[in-house]
Amino acid sequence: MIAALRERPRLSLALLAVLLAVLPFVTGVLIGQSGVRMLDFALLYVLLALGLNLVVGYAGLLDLGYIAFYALGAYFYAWLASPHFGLHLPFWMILPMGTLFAAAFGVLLGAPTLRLRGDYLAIVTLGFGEIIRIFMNNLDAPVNLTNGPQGMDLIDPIQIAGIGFSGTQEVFGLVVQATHLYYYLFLAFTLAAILFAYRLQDSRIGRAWAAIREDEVAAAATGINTRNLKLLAFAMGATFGGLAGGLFAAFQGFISPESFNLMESILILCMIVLGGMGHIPGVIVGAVLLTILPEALRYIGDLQRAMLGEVVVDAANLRMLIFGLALVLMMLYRPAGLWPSRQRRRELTAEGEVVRHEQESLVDVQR
Amino acid sequence: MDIFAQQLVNGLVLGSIYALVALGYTMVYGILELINFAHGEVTMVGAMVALAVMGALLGVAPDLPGILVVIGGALVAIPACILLGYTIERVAYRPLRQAPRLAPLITAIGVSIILQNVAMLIWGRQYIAFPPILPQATFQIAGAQVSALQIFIVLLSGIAMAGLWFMVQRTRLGRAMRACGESREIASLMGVDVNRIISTTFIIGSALAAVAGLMVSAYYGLAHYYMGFMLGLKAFSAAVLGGIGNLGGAVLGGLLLGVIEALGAGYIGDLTGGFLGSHYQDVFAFLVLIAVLVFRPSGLLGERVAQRA
Amino acid sequence: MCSAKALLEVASVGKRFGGLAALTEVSLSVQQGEIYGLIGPHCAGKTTLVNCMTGLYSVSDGQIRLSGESIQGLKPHAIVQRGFARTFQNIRLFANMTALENVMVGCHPRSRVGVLGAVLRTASERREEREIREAAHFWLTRVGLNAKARSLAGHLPYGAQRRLEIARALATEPHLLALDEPVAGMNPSERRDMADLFLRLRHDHQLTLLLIEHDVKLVMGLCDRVAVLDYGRKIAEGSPASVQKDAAVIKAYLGGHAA
Repeated sequence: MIAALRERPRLSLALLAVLLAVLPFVTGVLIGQSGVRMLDFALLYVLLALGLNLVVGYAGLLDLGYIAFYALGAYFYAWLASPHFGLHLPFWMILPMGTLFAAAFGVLLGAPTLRLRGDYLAIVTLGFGEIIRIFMNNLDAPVNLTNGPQGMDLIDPIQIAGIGFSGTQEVFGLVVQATHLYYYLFLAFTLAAILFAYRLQDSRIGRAWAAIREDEVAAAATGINTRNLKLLAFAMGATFGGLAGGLFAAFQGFISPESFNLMESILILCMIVLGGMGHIPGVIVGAVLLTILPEALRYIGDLQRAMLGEVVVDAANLRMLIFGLALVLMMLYRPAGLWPSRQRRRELTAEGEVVRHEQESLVDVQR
Repeated sequence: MDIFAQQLVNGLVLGSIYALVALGYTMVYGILELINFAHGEVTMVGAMVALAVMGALLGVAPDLPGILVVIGGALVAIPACILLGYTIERVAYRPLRQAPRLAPLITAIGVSIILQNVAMLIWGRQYIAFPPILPQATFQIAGAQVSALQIFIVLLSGIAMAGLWFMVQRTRLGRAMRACGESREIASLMGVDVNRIISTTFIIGSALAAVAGLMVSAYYGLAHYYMGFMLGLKAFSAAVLGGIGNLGGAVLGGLLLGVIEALGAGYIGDLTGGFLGSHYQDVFAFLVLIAVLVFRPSGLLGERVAQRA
Repeated sequence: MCSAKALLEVASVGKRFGGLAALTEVSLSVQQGEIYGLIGPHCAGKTTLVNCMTGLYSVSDGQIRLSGESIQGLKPHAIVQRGFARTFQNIRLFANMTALENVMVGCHPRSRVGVLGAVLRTASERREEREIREAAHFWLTRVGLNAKARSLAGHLPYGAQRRLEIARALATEPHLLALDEPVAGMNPSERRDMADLFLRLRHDHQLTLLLIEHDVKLVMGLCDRVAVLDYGRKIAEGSPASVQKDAAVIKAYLGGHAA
C-alpha cells in the first residue's frame, strides 16, 4: 500500500491533509481533551525541533541551550500581552517582534562562540541557556520583569477575527474547543516552517551550512563566509524557537522558568538525533514520538491495575525510566536515527576530521 | 572573620570536589571524545549507596566510631560505582563506538535519566541526611574558619589526584592510556588492548566519582537523587575550563570554578550594588567559563590546535 | 621580471609556530598567465606558504599582494572572493555531499540570494539556482567527472577526488589557482592526464596556476618558472632548466642537509 501511495504523490498528500484535518476530532473522541492538548504540544515541539535541526543538523553546531530562545519568545509574548505591564497587543504584532527579539539574541549569543568547536561550543551554549533561565528566575527584583519563580500568568490567548482561543467557541456555527483552534493554528505554522526548512536546505545557504558541517576549513577555502553563515544558522534557529515560545505562552496562558530548563534543550536534541538528524521527515517523527511517548507512558498506572490488580510502581516514576531506556535502546539499534536521510548517515564526524587534518598539516611543518 | 579568606577556603573545598568529578569527565573524553553525561549520576549513586550503607551500619552498631562508618560506606560505594561505570561503558557506549558522534551522547543522556529514576524508585524523592557522626572541630586559619571535614576533603582529593597522576605518568597502564588518548588506532597497532584501557578509564573515573559523591554529601550534609545533575554539569564545565582531555586542566578548572563560585556568591551583591543577589552564583560560574573559552577556545591548559577559518 | 604584471607578490614573508620558524624571508612573484612551480623536499614549508597566502594562517612578517592589493589579514573566503582559489594536499572534499553539490558549493561566492529569496523561491532565486547547477555541471565536465555528478564525493576513487576538488575550486571563478600536490599518489599516465588538464585550463580560462609539488619531474615539464624552498627559505628561483643545475637545489634534494 505504501508503494502504491508513493507512486501517487498527489493522492497521498490529499490523504495526509484529510488525516491532519480530522486528527484532533478523532483524538478528542478517543482520548479526550488531554489528547488534543498533546497534539498541540507535539506541533510546538516539531517547530522547535525543526529550528534546532537548522543549527545542529544542517550547520553542525551542537547547541545545548536552544530552549533559551523558546523562553525568550514566551516571555516576550507575556510582556506584551498580559496584565503584568498592562499591555495587550494583538498576537500578529507580538509574534513577529518576538521572533526578531529571539533572533537578535541568537546572533548575540552566537557571536562569541564562533571560534569554538564541537564540545566546547556545546558547553558554552548550555551555559547561555542556564544563564537565561537563572535570569528569568531572579528578575523579579529590583525591577519585576519576570515575576521570578512564580512565573507569569493571565497571558492573553490568541484572538483571530474576534474569536478568542479560550474555552469553547462557536466558529461558523460549530462549537469548537480552544485546543482544536490552537491545533489548526499550530499546524499552519508548522507546515510553513517545514516548507521554510526544506527551501533553506535546498538553497545555496543550505549547501553552505552543509559544507561548514562537513569541513569548516575547506568551506572557508571555497569562499564561504563561515562566520556569517554560522551566525545566520543561530539566528534562524532562534527564530523558530522564539515563534514556538510565543505560541506556547498564548496557548498555556502561564509561563515560568521551570518550563525552560536544560532537560528541555536536551529533549529537543534527542528528538532530532533520534529521528534522524538533518532529515526533516525524521526530525518530525522524532519530535512527535518523544512528545507522545512520555504522555502515553502515563497509562502505565492503569495498565498495572488492569494486569496486576494494583499499582506496584508509581507511574510518574516509571515513565521517565522507560523513556530513558527507550533512548538507549533506540540509539543502540538505530544509531543514525529512526529515519535518517540516505546521504547523511555519517553525521558530525567531520568535526574530528577537521582537527585531525589541521594537526597533520602542522606536524608536516614541525617535523 | 574575613569574608575573602572564608570564601576562598569554601571555594577550594568545593573546587577539589569538582576537580575529582571533572577528572572522570576529562579522562573519558581524552580517550573516547565522548561527553559521559551519566558521570554526574555515578557520583550521585556513590553518595546514595554510601549513605545507605552507613545508615545500615549505624543501625547495627550505633557506637561505631564515625570514621569507620564513613570508611565502611566508601568500601561499598566505590566497588558499586566501579561496577556501574564499567557496565555503562559496556552496554551503552562500546556498541556505538563507530556510530555518528551524537549517538553515544544520547545514550549517555538516556543512562542518566535511567539512573536518576532508579535512584528515585529506591531512595524516594526526599533528601537523605548525612548522619552526624563526623568530628565537628573547627580551626582558625588566616582569618577563616576551617572545619576538620573541609581539611579532610581537600587532603583526600589531593591524595586521589596525586595517585592518579602517578599512575598515568609513571606506570605501564598510564602510558597505554596516554597512547590511546593520542590515537586509538595506533595504540592498538602497538599492541595495546584498547578495550581494556577504556574499561579501566571508566573504572578509575567511577571510583573517583564515588569518593566525590561521598564527600559532597558529607559537605552539604545531605544527598538527593537529583544531585548528580548540577554537580556533573559544574564538573564538566570545570573540565572544559581547564582544557578537556587534560588531567591537570581538570584539577585547575575544578579549583578555579569552586573559588570563582564562592567568591562570586560572597561579593556579587556588593559588586552590583545589590542589584544581583547570590542566586546568581551559577551565572557567575558560567560567565567566567564562557569568557575563558572565548579568549582561549581550547581551555586554559588545552592543546593549542591551530584552527582558523 | 616586471612587477607591474605580477598577479601574486610575496614579499619577505615569515611564519613562526611558537619558536619554530617555518618560513623565513620568502619572496616570490607569480606573473599573469604562467604556471609557477613551488618545489622543495618534504616539509620545506610549501604548504605553510600556501596556507599563509590563502588566509588559513596569518603571516608573522612580510607582505602578500594579489593584483597589487594587499590580501594579508583577510579571511580565506575574502581571498577566494578576490579570485584566488586553492586545493588541499590531503584532499578536503565535503565527503557526504554529492560531487555535484561539492561543485555547487564552489559557486557560493559568485551568487547572492539570501534567506528571504530562498524561502520565497523568487524568480531570481530560481534563475540563480539554475545557473549554479549549469555551472557545476560545466566544471564537472571540464575535469571529466560529469558522469559521476550524483555520486557521494567520499565514495569516488582517489584520482577522481583530486579532480573534483579542482572543479570545486574552479567554480569559484579564480584568476589564480594554487594546487597543493595535485598528482601525489598517481601513476605516470594519470599524471600526464592531469598535466594536460592544467594546460587546457590555463589556455581556456586565462588561469594562472601555482603548482606545489614534491615531484620534480612534473614541475620541470610543465612550469614556466620554479621556486625552490628548503627549510622555510627560498634557495633558488628561475626557469626549470636553470634551477635543475643549481648547486644549492641539488644539495637539498640529495639529502645534503643530513650530512
